[in-house]
Amino acid sequence: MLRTLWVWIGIPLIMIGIASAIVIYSVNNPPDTIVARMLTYERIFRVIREHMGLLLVSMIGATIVGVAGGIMLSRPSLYRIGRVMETLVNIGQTVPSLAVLALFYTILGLGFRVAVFALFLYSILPILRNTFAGIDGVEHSIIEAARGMGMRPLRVLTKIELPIAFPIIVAGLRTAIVINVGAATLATFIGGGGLGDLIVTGLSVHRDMIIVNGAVIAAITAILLDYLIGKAEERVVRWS
Amino acid sequence: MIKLEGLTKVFKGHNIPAVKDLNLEVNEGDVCVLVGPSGCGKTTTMKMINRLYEPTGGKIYIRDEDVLQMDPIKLRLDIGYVIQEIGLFPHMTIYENIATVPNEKQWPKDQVKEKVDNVMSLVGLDPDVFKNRYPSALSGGQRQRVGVARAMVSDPSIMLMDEPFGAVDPITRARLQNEFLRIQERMDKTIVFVTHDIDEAIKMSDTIAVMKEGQLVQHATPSDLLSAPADEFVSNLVGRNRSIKRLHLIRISEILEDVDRAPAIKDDTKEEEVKKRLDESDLRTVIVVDRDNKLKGVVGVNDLKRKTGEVAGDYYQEVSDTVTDDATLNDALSVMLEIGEGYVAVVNEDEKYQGTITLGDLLNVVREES
Amino acid sequence: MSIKRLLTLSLVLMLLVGSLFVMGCEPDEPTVTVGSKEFTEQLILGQIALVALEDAGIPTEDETNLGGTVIAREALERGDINMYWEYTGTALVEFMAHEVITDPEEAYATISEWDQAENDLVWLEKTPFNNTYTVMMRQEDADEMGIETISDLAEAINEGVEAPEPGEWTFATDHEYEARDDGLEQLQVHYGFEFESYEVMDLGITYGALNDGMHATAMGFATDARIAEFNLVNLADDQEFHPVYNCSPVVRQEILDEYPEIPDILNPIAAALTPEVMSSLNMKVDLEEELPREAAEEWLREEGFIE
Repeated sequence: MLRTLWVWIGIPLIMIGIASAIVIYSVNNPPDTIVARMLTYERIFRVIREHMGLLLVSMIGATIVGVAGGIMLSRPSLYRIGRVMETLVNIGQTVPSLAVLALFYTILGLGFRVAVFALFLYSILPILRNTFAGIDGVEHSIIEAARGMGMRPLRVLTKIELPIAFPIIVAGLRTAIVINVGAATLATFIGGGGLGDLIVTGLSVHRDMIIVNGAVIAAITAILLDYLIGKAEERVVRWS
Repeated sequence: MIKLEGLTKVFKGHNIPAVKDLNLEVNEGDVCVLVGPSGCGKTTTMKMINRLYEPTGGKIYIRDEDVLQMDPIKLRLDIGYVIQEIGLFPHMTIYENIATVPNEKQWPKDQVKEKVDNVMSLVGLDPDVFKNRYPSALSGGQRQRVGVARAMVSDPSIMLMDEPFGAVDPITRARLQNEFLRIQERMDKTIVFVTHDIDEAIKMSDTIAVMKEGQLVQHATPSDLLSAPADEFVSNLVGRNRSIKRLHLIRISEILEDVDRAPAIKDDTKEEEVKKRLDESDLRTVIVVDRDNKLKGVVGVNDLKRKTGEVAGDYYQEVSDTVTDDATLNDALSVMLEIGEGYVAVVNEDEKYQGTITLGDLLNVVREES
Repeated sequence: MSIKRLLTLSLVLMLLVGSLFVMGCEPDEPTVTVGSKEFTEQLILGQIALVALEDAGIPTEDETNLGGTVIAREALERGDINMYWEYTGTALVEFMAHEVITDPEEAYATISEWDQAENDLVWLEKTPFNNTYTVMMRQEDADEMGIETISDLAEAINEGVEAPEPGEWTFATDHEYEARDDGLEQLQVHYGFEFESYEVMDLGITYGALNDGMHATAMGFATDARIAEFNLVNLADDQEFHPVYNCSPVVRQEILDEYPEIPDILNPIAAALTPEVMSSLNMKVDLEEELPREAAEEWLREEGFIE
């Protein structure tokens, strides 16, 4: 009980506490007017809100599309396309996120929605690949046993394939989130807002304090989300 | 019970049929073993029975019902299925694994629980110990048992078993085979059993169907197969030492009553009596049992000379191995060779002493049979 | 002393004597060495000076594309080069450690007096173009609404004049301009107006965002090639809010003593370099891939500065 409390509340609170301490100190002790202008509670909350918006909207979309796509590609009728897709995704992943953002800027223009869309497409890749690989990796004998005992294909998928692939799918999700938190800081280049506002501004006016605030909040967001999903997965998957 | 008529399977992209014009009938309650080298079509034939493969041509009947007209899902739910790699679901507990078919059939919960407990006990897995474990925590032999239990839990009258004891060591395999035969004696299911091991085929089967390159070469009882192989292929398959293979066919219990041998002594027997019994014995040893007829050990002439107590219970030697009475003569022979003695003590399921058989007894059987 | 060392020594001596000989052979007329910093505008300006001087029969040497501000300035102070183009605002803050000045004339007077007195460096006539922060609109919108200055813009916004595309008085800014003390916030205070909203983005795309109609106004740098490319217009900083960065040829006094005609050659040229001219020259090099020298020659010829 105490352990559960510590794992789910204690550790996250410590992480949030670290970030809060840095923010509170910076807002109350700005060394000059530039830092004072950039680091206000209002502005920091706004960029956190924007960042979470970028993250959540793109991740929810990417999870739905990635998992559904991975399942579809793992079906026998599309399996060959799936293998090709796997290679393409691996190549796609090597395109830098800034390039993806720049590409969508030239096609779709500016702003939050374009940034969300670029992040969404970029985050689909690891989720789609892991879903496909996870299902593809389920031992053939297990599926044959399930079919041989009279499970319908949909039951085999939901009761056997997806649960067995679950840890790998979640691993893809975690990869996507960590990439996404980082890539979302680039949204600021095309007017997408978020924590990148602080980082890029800090860089351009040579104010480390502004950079640190943006970077620390982004890093703790990534670590915290990865940590919580990992812990949640441990609770769900007890068999491996 | 099961009837295959002109069954043919040609896989996409292959010219040569995997199974060609196969005719086979399996009677109710029989174990029919499909045997042959790998690639002979035995597994393909089996998988057509529950329609994991759709036949290219021919008919399959179960109780005169055309299988190809049935809903494959319903068909499979009523046929027990065990495969070589076992195919346990790693993310489910042993209980959930075994309950798969009842759950698919949507049985009520308490009925499922009762059946799972029963079938686990039947295959020798204590439900209280194993129910909530995951497959990864089980030994190879235990997994095989779960695989069999999972196939039997809903009491299917037909079972398909594809090398179900393939993935374990020979000793465990022999034990699992014997246990399964004991269960089968009680359950009397119709079983199609695939193996490439002719010894296993002879031991497990009521009839053996030898296959070669997709065709049936011979379908006969093991005894007939041994005495009258249809062609050179079959006689090569059964090998030269057919007499020894016959030992697979006979259970120890079948010959035990014909063996005339001095009974065991109780562990409270005094020296004089022991000496007398030793002199009578053709083995120069006597078996020692306790009050409940449970096997304790053996006393030889030398043990008596170096005796350390008044009664036999004080100075007997433990035996290194025994056989159960439902084992085959071949199993008995293996144990004798293993322990390096000319005899082996036979016990039943409850470790109670049943008798002793010797190499001489086996020789007599072989001589009589041929 | 080993033979090897002897040989080395004699080789060094030979080289020394040889170089003395070469130096002795130089013609009497000194060469004007023109330097520049490393970016497009500087390369073009360097070539403009070179071409104009050559045309007047002055021997020149091309030392353009030296590097950053500090490198070019040190080369000039040491006499490695005789002249390069420098910006008033840059020199004021970086060399003179003076505070920012927003009046072009005052900035020019301050730095040129100081450099003459302290370093014997002469600031020739400055350009009308002022490569500083600029507030831009699309040319057709500005023409239509009669907006020429930031004051005009402030007035239009304050009077509720209907905004051009996207229908709101929005502003595209880069990160630095949003944060700076002499940036967006104080601009609005200084001119007494407020944009309805603004969006922060990379400097490279504010021009495009304005051109594509995603914003009604945008900030940028006054001589950027994309102003010419996209047909944008700089609104005049009529209340002198932004620091000024007009550009002048900075020349060593001693070379002016040799060639007193240099100011007469370069002053009219500098006076002709308006923001529009500079932006279109930048565009020719940046976007149409002309060589800086080609662009310089072409423009000088068109304007009649050379034959």
